[in-house]
Amino acid sequence: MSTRQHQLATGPDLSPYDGQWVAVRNGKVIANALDEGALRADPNVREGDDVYPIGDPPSGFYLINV
Amino acid sequence: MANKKVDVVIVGVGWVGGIIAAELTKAGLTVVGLERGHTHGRSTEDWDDQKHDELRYAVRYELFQNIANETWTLRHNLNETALPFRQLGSFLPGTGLGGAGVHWNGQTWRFHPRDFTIRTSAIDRYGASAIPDGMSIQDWGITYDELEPYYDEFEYMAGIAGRAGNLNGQMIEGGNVFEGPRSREYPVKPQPETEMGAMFRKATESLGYHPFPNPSANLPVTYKNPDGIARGACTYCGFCERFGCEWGAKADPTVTVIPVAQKTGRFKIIDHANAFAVRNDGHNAQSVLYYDAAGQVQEQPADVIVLGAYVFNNVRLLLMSKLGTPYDPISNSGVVGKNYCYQTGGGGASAWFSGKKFKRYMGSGALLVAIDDFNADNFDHSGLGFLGGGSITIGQTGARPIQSLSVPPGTPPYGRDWKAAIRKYYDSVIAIGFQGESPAYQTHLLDLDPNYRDRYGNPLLRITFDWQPNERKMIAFAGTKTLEIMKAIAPDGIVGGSGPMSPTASTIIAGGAGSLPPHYDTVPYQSTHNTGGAIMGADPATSVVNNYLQMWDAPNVFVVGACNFPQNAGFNPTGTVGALAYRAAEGILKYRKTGAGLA
Repeated sequence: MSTRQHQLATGPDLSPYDGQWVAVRNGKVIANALDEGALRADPNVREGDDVYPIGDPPSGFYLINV
Repeated sequence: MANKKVDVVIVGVGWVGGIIAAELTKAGLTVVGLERGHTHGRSTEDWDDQKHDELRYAVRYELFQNIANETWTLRHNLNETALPFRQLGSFLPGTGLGGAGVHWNGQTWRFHPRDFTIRTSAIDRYGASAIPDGMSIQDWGITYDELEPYYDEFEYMAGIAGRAGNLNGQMIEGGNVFEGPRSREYPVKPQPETEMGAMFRKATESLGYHPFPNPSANLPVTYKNPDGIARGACTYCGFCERFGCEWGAKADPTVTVIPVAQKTGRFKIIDHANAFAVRNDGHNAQSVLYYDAAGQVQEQPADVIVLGAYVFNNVRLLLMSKLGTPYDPISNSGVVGKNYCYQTGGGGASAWFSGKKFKRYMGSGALLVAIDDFNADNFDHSGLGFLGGGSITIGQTGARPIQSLSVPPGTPPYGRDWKAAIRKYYDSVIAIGFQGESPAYQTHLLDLDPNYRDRYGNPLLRITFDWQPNERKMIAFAGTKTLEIMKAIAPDGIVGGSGPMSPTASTIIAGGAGSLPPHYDTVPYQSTHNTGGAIMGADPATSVVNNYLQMWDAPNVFVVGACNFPQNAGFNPTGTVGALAYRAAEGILKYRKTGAGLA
């Protein structure tokens, strides 16, 4: 298995970051914080990193179906 | 001993099986439908008993697959060992005559022209580098314009209610101005606008967006379709999703296409027939093997085999029958099981009002108002870091006593305060939802599980899937849009509120940057919109079927349904599934004349 295929297969485990924001680069979490502002202020975070929140959506009862 | 040979055998008698059976029997062919469930409890008359029993149908899953007999396994990546679903949760496949077409909501969309050329369109607008590494989106091998007549046929058969936004290229305000051109107006006028729908419409108009009534298979008026089938108008009882419609106002195969096929006298349905293999020589198929109600193996020979069951069943049948080449995610070769996709939900916003009543106990499954401004490529993605989007809606689909209770964040989950919050907010809450695209990835697939088997000893289908960065960014973006709209609806609303029962709280809003769980979670219900695994395309090296849904490897086998989607759009799938079924029926009739591949 090549390095690229291995990265495709695994991806980061985001479970430890439930409820936080994370910055991901090349498939690895490089920083995390409680909110987006604090995360973007982290010197480890560069423009172009994937930045998003992790956790259950704040609203929940809306269901989508066929 | 095998059953008597017929012209066509169809596995599954839902929308796909019903449409194809109707079209082929009208053309004079003999057809057998193999239905793994029962055939009672589906007609209008049969719904008279306990029809609005939420515990029976919605909580105990009366209409859904019994996973004690057959379930699925899931792993989040190629290195995990998959584990079986022990309870129904994130999706609810139907069983019995009519399939999921009985318990659906009736939201009936056409996909965008761009959806059918997604890869080409993305590269044209943003360049090849905009497609993330490992994302395997591909064009469908058919264009919107080619599929339009079949969409039209489905909509007139089902009596879809709506307002055109693009009639032969002319944009019409009040309809979906982002849709592809329609050859004619919807057959039925839109459903009436609710109070919450009007609030959403005014708010989105004030923000410069383009609201329109959600296309609906729930009839607002009586309707007679081209087959002469007449159905009555919706009573807005609010029991659509997870229920059948006792009134027949919701388009459903059992009250539309199946009676048409049966009236010809050329359609036979065999119930409790659980198909497990297609007998074939690698180039042509001869019959379908199935277990009958007693668990005995039976065989139904036919000239043409149609797999018209749910996504998972179609793909599993192909794999168990060794029809087509199984997909290998490491070498990125093979096709059967490739491009499994789901639907990306989340990013919604809710508001709880004090003293406002919406009559939420009334509704229908598609009584929604929508905007399409942030779906597909209807907005500029430059600099956003993701591709795709989704439909944004507000809906009044009914508020049943068990599963439709909603309280503001911070409310205790039980006890006196919870009861007080329910009394206060049951009829005073609205929600804006986002239904997002699910792109395909090289490592998302369906294959046969090496460890777990069903009640007959056959391998379960294994799902490999997880949320990816592109969708996480899309949902975060969607949450900002739904919150923007909710704030426009309730300018005095307090995001987060000051406590759910605070006497000073007027309107409480929940929303913000949307998020997805750390991993795809099978427990909470999300969507039954599973897609892919037997995808259509223009190249046998990258697709299972051609654009008539005919197998490249076996021309007398047609595989039809959402399994054909190379990736999933930001819409409900049934309109497109119906269109593909009509396309396949035409293809089968052509094949009967030529005996050859149709591509």
